Amino acid sequence: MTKGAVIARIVSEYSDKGTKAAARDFQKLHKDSHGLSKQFEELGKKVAKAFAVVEIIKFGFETIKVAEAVNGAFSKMNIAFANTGSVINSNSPKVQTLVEHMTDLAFMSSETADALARGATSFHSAQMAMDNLSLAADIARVSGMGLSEAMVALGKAAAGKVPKSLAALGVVMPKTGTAAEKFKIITDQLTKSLEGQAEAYAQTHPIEAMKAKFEEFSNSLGQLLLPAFSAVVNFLDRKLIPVMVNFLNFIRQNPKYIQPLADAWALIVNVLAKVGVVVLRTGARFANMLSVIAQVVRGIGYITGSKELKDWGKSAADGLGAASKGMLTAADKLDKFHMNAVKLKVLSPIVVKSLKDIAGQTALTATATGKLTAEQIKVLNALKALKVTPTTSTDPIELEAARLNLLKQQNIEAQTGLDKLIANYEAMMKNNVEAQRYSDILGVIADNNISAAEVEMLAAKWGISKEAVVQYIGKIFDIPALMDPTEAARLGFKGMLDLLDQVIAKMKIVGAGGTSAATSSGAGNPLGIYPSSPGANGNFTYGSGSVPDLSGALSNGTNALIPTSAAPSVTTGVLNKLKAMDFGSTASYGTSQFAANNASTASSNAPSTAGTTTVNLNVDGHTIATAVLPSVTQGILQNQISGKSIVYSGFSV
Amino acid sequence: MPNRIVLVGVEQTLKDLKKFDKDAVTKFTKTINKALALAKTEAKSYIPDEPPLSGWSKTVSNKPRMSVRGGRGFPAWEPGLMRAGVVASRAQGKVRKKDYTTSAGALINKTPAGAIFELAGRKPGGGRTASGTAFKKILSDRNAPASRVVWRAVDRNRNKIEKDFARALIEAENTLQIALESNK
Repeated sequence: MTKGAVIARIVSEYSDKGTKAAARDFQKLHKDSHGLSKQFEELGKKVAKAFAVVEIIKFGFETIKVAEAVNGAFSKMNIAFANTGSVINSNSPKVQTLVEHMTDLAFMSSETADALARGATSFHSAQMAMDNLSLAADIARVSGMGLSEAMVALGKAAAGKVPKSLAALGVVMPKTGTAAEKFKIITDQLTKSLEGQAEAYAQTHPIEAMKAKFEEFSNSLGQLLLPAFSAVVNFLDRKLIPVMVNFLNFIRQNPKYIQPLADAWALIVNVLAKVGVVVLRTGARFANMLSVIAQVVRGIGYITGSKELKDWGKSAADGLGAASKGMLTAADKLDKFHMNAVKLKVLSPIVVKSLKDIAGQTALTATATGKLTAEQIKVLNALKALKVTPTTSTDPIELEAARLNLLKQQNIEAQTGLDKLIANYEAMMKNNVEAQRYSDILGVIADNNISAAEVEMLAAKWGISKEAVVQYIGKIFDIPALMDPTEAARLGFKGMLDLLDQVIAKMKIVGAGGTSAATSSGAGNPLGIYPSSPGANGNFTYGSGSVPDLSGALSNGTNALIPTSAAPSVTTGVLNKLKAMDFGSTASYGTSQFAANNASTASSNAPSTAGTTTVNLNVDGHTIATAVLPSVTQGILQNQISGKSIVYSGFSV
Repeated sequence: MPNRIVLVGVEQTLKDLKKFDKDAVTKFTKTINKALALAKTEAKSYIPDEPPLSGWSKTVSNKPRMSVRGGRGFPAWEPGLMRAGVVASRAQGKVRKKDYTTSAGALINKTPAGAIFELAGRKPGGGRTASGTAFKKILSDRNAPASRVVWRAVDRNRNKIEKDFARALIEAENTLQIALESNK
């Protein structure tokens, strides 16, 4: 070129040396294609997280290179065979059998193909090359030379020359006979002396044998990936010029510079394989199922109120849903580029074997998928039992709608359950309050009277007014004057308290300690629990005898409890209660009031002796001491308050 | 003036394709040559008949200044010769010192006068002398700023040339692929 000329390069092609400028271009390319590489990176992360395919990807990249090398070797062989006029080529069963046999002898496919190509050229016959391949293998193992060199040496011998490599093995060219006869003598000698060397080598060098097998495996896999690789290259060539053109250049001519993107590139290539699609789809289905399960867990979290469970369910469901979607998206992309089996058949004879391999792999995958389906059915049944209908849809909107619907339903059920729980709890609380108050009342009236201080104490404890306390106790003991607001207002706190105190003093039915002065008993007071007359302290004590008519006591002038006008009702109410507490044979306790039945069959065994009287209740043969009577009564009252109807029978004292 | 497009496998593709389909190679070459010829014709048109400066001699000096170009003096403005010096090339160029790239398609401005006209004033700023500064200024004012010939043509036609190149290469690769598969 003229010195000083101006050269305007329109199109350049990098040499295979690689340079700083090339590196700069590569960096620029990386920058230009940042968005694209980022997508690949993200895709890689998703897939790698699920299946840890990074190593497989690297392997896939290597297999492509192996496949290319093998293809190149077989292409050369085909040309060499064709030049001899032979119709045999790499698709021929004979060749494939030979290649497999040589693989067993720890020779790689590419080595075999190269040796056959060279042999065909040397012998001018494809058939002779194949016939002498085994001998060449033995020679190669004994002499340490390569298979191709051994084949070339044999070719020279066939041409009447003995190369040094064969001479070293003791080969001497016969002096008489045709070239063919001489060559036959030589090969017979070599076969006799070297036969089995290649097999022995393969058996004693397992690593070499394994390498050959591995190369075969790599080649098989690479053949599957190669079309996808080519498809991608073609696609990028057409669609992404000029952005990607530098990148392609580096892939083909400067492989050492593509390492930073090699993984991403290999990922694209590898995941384009059909098997990748199958794996991704299976994984996506599995992730989808896990997502549904996680949603159920989340729902359970709502029901139980477990925030931790709820949060875990949400994050798991969201994460798995995203993973499932990502994998399906990847699988869809891969489907568009998966290999074409017809084209594969054209590309290499090994593909036939590869197709068998992939068919087997697919069968295994199908089996795995079948198992997974069974698992899915199991899970689905479990979910149905939980009244959950999982969706198999992969549409995120549908999934979210299903999830929300699921949670909504569960919330309604949870709310219903919660309402019942709260109602039950409130009922329990109410019962407890009533029982506690009754216990307080019993404690306060244990001395048979109630003072203003005690009422104030109860008011403070219960959180209500003093008047309300008196009215409450009046209600318990069924004192109409205290239950009537108008009358209560008229009496005032002091009047109400006096009235209550008098009633309590008159009742004295459960005297603490059971100590009292027994003063009377008789036919009219058969149980001996009604006092015939007040004791020294003015209180009535229990004796035995007929039950007195309290109406007189309640209404007489000395012990007037209430005005005469109110006496009947008060008397009737209290009397009824007292009669009920007469422990007739049958006492039925209703919800609102004691339904007394002063049965004629009432019996009494209450002791009635002078001095201290201990009252024991005999309930169906079980003796209940008066000391525990308050608690028994409390139990009765609790049941009454809670609306439970209880029928006691066989009460006796 | 960077290398805007770097294609791959041009040489190898054509080499392999030649074994199977020479017509395809011819077609490829034709496409490329056509694209280059277009640019070349345009580049030639940028060279005016008259020198851009009145003092630029149209004939070679009988007594050239010895200090210039090894005694050959300042090159004469010979438009015919200059246009003839604008050529297209697809030769694999020599590997350059630093970037090791080779040319797969280029326009070359061979003549000294053409190179001066092409590049004078490309470096920003004035010249080393007053006359040098005036030379650059007048050259840029009366004509386009540097570069003025081959690079100007290449820049104007780059997209079309690149597309033609890429399309031709893809076609060639496809033809080669079909040929390889049919010969298996």
